[in-house]
Parts: sequence; structure tokens; C-alpha cells
Amino acid sequence: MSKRYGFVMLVYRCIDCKACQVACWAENEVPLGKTRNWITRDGYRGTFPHLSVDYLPGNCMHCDNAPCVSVCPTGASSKREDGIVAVNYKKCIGCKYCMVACPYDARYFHPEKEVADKCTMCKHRLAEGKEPACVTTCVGGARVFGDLNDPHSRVSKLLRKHRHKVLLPEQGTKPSIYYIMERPQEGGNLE
Amino acid sequence: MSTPVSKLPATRPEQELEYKKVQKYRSLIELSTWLVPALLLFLGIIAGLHIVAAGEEALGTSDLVPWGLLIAAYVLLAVTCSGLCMISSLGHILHIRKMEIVLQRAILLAIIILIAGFATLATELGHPLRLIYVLFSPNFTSGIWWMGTIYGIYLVALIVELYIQQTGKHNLARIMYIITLILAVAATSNLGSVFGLINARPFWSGPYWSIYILITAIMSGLAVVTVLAWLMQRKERGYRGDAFRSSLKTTSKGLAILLVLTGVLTFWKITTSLYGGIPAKELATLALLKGPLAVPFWLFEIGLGIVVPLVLIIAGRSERLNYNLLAALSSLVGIVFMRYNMVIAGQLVPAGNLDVQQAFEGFANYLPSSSEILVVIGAISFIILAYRIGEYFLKLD
Repeated sequence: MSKRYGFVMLVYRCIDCKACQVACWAENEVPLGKTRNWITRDGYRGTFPHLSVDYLPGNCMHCDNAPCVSVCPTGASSKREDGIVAVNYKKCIGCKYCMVACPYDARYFHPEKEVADKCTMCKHRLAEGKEPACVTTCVGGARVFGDLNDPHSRVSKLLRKHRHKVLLPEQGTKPSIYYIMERPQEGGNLE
Repeated sequence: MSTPVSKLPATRPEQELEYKKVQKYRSLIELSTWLVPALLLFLGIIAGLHIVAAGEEALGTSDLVPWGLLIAAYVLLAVTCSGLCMISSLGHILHIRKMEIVLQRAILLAIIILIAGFATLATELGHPLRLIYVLFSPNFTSGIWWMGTIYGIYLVALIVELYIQQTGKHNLARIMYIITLILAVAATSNLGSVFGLINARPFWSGPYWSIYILITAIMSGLAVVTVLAWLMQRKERGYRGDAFRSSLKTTSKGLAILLVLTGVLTFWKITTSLYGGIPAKELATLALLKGPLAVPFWLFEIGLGIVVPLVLIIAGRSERLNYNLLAALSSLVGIVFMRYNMVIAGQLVPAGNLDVQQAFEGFANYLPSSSEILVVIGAISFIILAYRIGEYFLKLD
């Protein structure tokens, strides 16, 4: 079976430090003012004074049913066998249809290349056997990366063991990023 | 009571002098009707080159609002082209004699307007030269691919139709009227589907825009033909003048019907979008009703676009030519904002608003840049200039 790369986000571990964004900027030379990944706040929980807040790290969801791939007039956006939604810069006409069609607002317009760019799961690092830069740098270990088709991978084990969700399931995009919202006991670990 | 000096009958040399003055002013006005559009076209080309060179920096768009005024202008021009073609084809197929005199002119205008639309779209694209991949690497699931391909074929068909008209082959022309009518309907409804197929933008998603764009295409086509007929009837005397005046009254009646239909469609779009408070859909509608698009919506799209032209046509019973002209001009201004509102409202609410838990309270920002505005003005100037040249060289009667 071919690989299917994906992320599992351990939400309780994200401290909103944005190191993932900085690492991505440096690794992929993302232009100033643009970003390939982000952290959003997921509301408040509990009542005062026992309040807590969740942070959801995100990037391109590398959807199995990616709207950006369907709408691209030249096939510049495509879904690879390993699950990565890739952009062929040479074919991109810069019509921005993919940017309008993405329900996660995951794309940005590259001002110099004049193409609609996005997260590539650091495919150049994967080719060298390394993990994406955002995963390597994550301080709390909130971002877990791996092969969703490999039952022995860490991501598969986490998904088997814990309840998880995807963002905007009603859009039918079948994202490759899963969120585990569960929290361990004080000082404990989910794994 | 003595007659005022200015009202005394002029002597022959004075009359001649006055005649020369009038002629001088006329030729000055005539010259300015060429020079002003030419100057504006030149400015538009400079602005277009600036956008191509500077890219995103020269546009008012952002990652949250990727489509701006130039996309709205493309929609405006492409849809107006389809409207003109539909009127021309239907007029010929159904033998609407009162409109006959403007129908060939409608085809010439349609071709010119579509070329201007393509030029506007190419300015907005990051890499227009890579459009070649639309041919060599097509993606048949893409709404833009279908829209672009059908409009491309449609442009060729329109040129063929005009050529056949010019050569006077009436039987062949009849076949072309049917072909271009089918292509016009296909291209226009496909353009609506470019928006309707986007599930990430609830304000756009669904079949509404395909139908709306088709109806408003005929409306914009009728408005343009009305203005054209008014201009022509001023130049022409005798039978030809009467023919233009008669067609002007007929197109104004059609325009009134289409204005009512558009008003009804708009009312139900707004009502259904607000009903139930569906996130993003409701917020996009509120952007139109009381948000950043309130002035373009209420004043221009509804006020100048629907109410004023309807009042003028009804007040003049479609018989008063100047009222009809003002109605058509007013509705054309409204149509410009109608397209703008349609394209921008769908994007002012970030797609992330689909997630209720992280709902975004405000609106994204978009204001067209001066370069974008100049490109649109340049495109309209090109249409005026190219049509006048066409009118001069082609046999359009």
C-alpha cells in the first residue's frame, strides 16, 4: 500500500508559541507577510476562575477530496499518491480560483512567483527522510507527522486510541489533518 | 415693447458666422469623442502594464479577497457580450422587425466587448502566457476551464457570424444565429457556475448565479442596445431615424421587464440568505445591506440599477426617448456595481467563518487600486473606439 502522509495535532500540547510558523518561513522562504501554517484559538472552556483555552495548529489540510485540485483549470494543483496536494508552479496561471475555493483559506498568492502557493508538507525534507520543519521545531510536540496508511506509525496509533475530529467535515473535503481534543490527567501523557 | 437685441433676426453674414462657429464646435466635439477615449485607453494600457510588472502590489486584492475589480469587470463585460448576442440571435430567429436595425450592431459590439473582457482578465492573471496549459493540460472538473473554453469558442463563432452577415449569406447566417445563441447561454450560465460550484463560499454556492447571470445578461444587453439606438437616431433622419426610434422603444419595454425580474431575484436572494442565520451566508448578505458594500448595493445596484430606470421608463411610458436613454444609462451604472457586489460580497467573509466555533466577527477589506480602476476605464474606452471604427468600416444595415 502506498504512503498517505498526514498530521495528528495533539491540541493540549500547543502553547501558541508560533515556532512552527517561524520554522516554515525559514525553511520554505515564505515571503514577508504570508504564511503556510497558523494557530487559531478554539474558544474558551470552563467557568471563571477555572478557564482554559485550546489552540489549533493548522496548515493546508492536504484533502483527499481537495476543492483546489478540482477547480484548477490547468491541473497545476494535484493530489500525489503519497497524499500531498502539490502545486506545479510552471502550470499555474495565477487565476486564484484555488484560493477562493479552499474552505480553510490555506493558500496565499506568492508575490514574486505570481502563483497560488501553500504548504507542501516540506516534501524536499521528506525526500531526505526528515520530517516537515514545523513538526521538528514544535516545542510542545503538538504536531505529529507520519504515514496514515502504516498501522505502526505514531499517527495511526494515536488515531486508533483517541477520539479525533477534522475541521469542517460538512465540506466533504476529507482532510489529512486530524485533531485530538482529549486532555491527559495533570502532568500525564496521552500516549 | 422692444425686442431684445439678441433675438433680432441675424443678417446673412452674421448667420454664416454663427454657422461656422457651430460647425467649429461640432467638429471639436467630434474630435474630442475620439481623443478622450483614446487618451483613457492609453492610460488604461499603462495601468495594465503596471499591474503586469508590479503584480500583486498594484492590486487592491489580498489572500482573503483574491478576486477584485478586474474579475468583476470581466464578468460585467463577458455577460454584457452574451446579452447582446442573445438579443441579436433572438431578434433574428424570431423576426422582431422593430429591432432589426440594431441587431447587426449588437454583434459587432458583442465581439468588441468580449475582447475587452479577455484583456481585462489577462491583466489580472499572474501568468497570462501560461494560458496555453488550458489547452495542453485541461482539467475538466474546473468551472473556469469550461467557462474559458466556451467563451473562446464563442468569440470565434461571433466573428464568423459577423463575417457571414457582411457577405450577405442569409441562410448560413440563420444557422450561426442559433449556434451563437446556444453558445451564449452555455457560456453565461457556465460563468455563473464558476461561482456556484464553490462550496467554501455559501453566498455563491448553488445554481442561483447561473440563472441570475443569464437574466441580467439580457438586461445589460438591452441597456447597451437602447443607448446605441438613441445615439444612432440622433444622427439619422427619415426612415432610418424612425427605425432606430422604434427599436429604442421596444428595447426599453424589454429592459423594464428584465429590471422587474432582476429586482424579484435580488429580493429572494437576500431573503433566503438571511433566513435561518446560516454563518457566512448571512454575514455576506449583511455586508451588502449594512456593511462595507451598503453604498454600492443600495445606492447603485438597487437605486440607480433598478428603481431609477424603472421609474423613468414607466413615467415616459417607454415613448419618451430621453427618458429611455437615461433609464438605460442608469441601469448600466447599476449593472457595473451589481457585478462588483456579486464578486466581492462572496469573499468579504473569510472562508474560515464556516467554522461556527471560530466565527469571525468583522469583514475582510477590499478597495480597488487606482490601476485596477484605470484598466476598467481603459477597457470601456477601447469598446467606444473600436465600435466607432467598426461602424465606419463595416456595413451594419
